[in-house]
Parts: sequence; structure tokens; C-alpha cells
Amino acid sequence: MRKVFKVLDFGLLAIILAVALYGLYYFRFNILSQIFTALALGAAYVLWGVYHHLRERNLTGKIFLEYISIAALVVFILGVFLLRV
Amino acid sequence: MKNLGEKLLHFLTPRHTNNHRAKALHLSSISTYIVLLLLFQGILTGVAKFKPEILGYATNITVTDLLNDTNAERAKNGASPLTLNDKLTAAAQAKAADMFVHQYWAHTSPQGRDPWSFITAAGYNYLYAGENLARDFADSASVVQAWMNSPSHRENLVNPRYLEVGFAVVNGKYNNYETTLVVQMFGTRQGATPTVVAPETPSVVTLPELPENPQTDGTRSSGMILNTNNNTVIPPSAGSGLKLDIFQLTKAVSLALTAFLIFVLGTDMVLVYKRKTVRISGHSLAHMMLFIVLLIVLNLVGRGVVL
Repeated sequence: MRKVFKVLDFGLLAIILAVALYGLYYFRFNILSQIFTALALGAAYVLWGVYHHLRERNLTGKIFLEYISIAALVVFILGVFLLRV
Repeated sequence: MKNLGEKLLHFLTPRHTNNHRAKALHLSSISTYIVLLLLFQGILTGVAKFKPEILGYATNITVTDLLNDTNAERAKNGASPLTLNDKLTAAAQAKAADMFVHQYWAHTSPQGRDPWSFITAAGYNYLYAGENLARDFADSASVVQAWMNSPSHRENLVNPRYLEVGFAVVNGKYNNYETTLVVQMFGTRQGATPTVVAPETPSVVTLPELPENPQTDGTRSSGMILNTNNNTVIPPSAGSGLKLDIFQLTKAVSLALTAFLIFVLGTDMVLVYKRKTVRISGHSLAHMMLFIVLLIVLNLVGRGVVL
């Protein structure tokens, strides 16, 4: 049963990432909207991490900070790249 | 040598020395990457501000290629080929020059000049007229492809009402960054017979509503070179030697870091699974999925903006 939940959680993550990828493509003529999409992706990723680890009952402050730092790094790289286009 | 090997393994793989998580994935390392990237971007911005003469990028945009690619798309869509018109070319050149002098990126200038005023000022008495703009592209094919990918620009490009076209491909500075502007002016003269039945009253094909970009106030002088005689683009020759392309540098560094982290995360996943290590940490698979999306975006997003 736990494995099923894990697969479902990663399926949800895949959907979040696919929606973000589509959003970045849809707003390809509007850099500001693309940056907002990147920020939304970062926020959604952190929320997913919290939700997933809460479900696994192993959410700690360190894990929370890890997801925030990974999301911050990705959003920063995306944001700078889009602004340089 | 053994010490170096140990240090590499400590940095790249999960071991007892790094709490079974590669040092490269620790919070301190991620923070270091962000700080280093901030520093790198700060240096690039500083170079752009204080030594703009060493910035530049290679472009391969020619009027001949733009015309050929445009007509190829028109042929695919059943429209007759456009012929190059001197007056429309002059109008496009005047528009490009105006955009650099007044530092704006829009169809209508801050002074309220619309594209049609450039066309009539060049002496072209139009029945139909249209305009496509592009900047920061590296080659002609990418420009035409970007126009074709945008419904409103595509509408202009394959419109059978247009019979003639003029191009300007101009290098200059916009917002302190060296850029290449491409202006495409479409037209059909009064009294000409387009391939579709014209309405009874002469009409102008209006450009679709597009978001206005913020414009700088006042005028600034900017260097630019106009050359449409032999249809090649000459970059401003402010000093010789290697030119820095900020976009390509940013892309290269971002791609390298992303690929590195995907590699480390993949290695982490495989080793933890094989060794059946029990640890409490974020999911490497989830992080890897996020970085793969980033890799896709970095590879697919190209340089260039159309308007």
C-alpha cells in the first residue's frame, strides 16, 4: 500500500512538472509570465515535498530546507536565463 | 593522489564520511552554488555596464535568407512570393534606426509614430501594409521560424494580400546590450492586384494588439551600422579580439551545473538502492525530475524575441 502511495505521489509530481513545462512554453512570448511560472513551479515543488514527507511521516526541518534550497536554485537558474534571453 | 580520490568520492558519492549523502548535495553546497551563480551574474552585469565594448555575439542574418525563408513559408501556405521593394526597405531601415535612437521595442514609437507613417514617409502608397519585428536572433531561419510559431506574425507572413516586402537587419544597442533588430515591412501598392479579391474601400491590415514593452524615457545616442547593400550584417567594431556573449555564457554555466547535479543525483540514487542504505533525506528522484525539466527548458529556449 505504501508503494502505491509513493507511485501516486511521484505521479502528482510528474503532473506538476509537465504543467510547468507547458506553462513555460505557452508563455514563450512573455518573459514576465515565464518568470511567474518558474516561481510557481518552485513553490509547488516545495509544497509537494512537504506533502510527500508528511505522508511518509519523516518530514524534518532539514528536509524542508533541502526542498527550499533545491527549488531556489532551479528558480534562480531559470529566472536569470529567461532574463538574459 | 589517494587523498584526491577520497575527496572526490566524498564530494560525489554517498559514504560514511558524508552521512551517506554526497557532499555536492548538502545544504551548504546548494547554497554555495547559488552564491557563486549570483557572483557570476554580478560580474557579467558589471562587464556589460563598464566594459560594454567586449560584449557581442555572432549573428548570421541576411536579407536574402530572410526573403527566401519567408517565400518558402508562403509557398507552403499557397501564397504568392513577395518581391523586395526599395521603398519598403527604406521604411524598414528608418523604423530600425528610430527604435535604436529612441530606445524602444514596440510597433508604435514613444512619439506616437506607427509603422504606417514610416511606410508613407518612404514614398510607398500602400493599399495593404503590415510589420513584423524580431531581435536577438542568431540566424535568419530562427527569425522566420519564430514568426511562424506566433499566430499573429504568421498571419502577416503568409497573408496573400501582400505582394512586396522590405527588410532591415541592424546591429545596435538596446538597453545597454548589443542586439540585432530585424524589421519586416509588408505592403501592396494602391492599384496593384493582390491574389485575393480586395474589399471595395482601401483598408489597412491592422496589427494585432500586442503588449507594449516598457520604454526608456528620453533619447540616448547608440552606435549602429546599417548595411542592406550586400545584405550582410556587420557587428559594431569597437575593438578587436574575443567578444563575450552573455546569453551563451549564462546558458553554458547553467547547463553545466544542471548536468552535474543530475549526474550526482543519479549516482546517489543508484548507490543508495544497491547498498540498501536507510537514511532520512529529500528524494533524489524528485530532485532529479526537477533538474531534468530545467535541462529541457535550458535546451529548448532559444535566444530572440518577436513583436
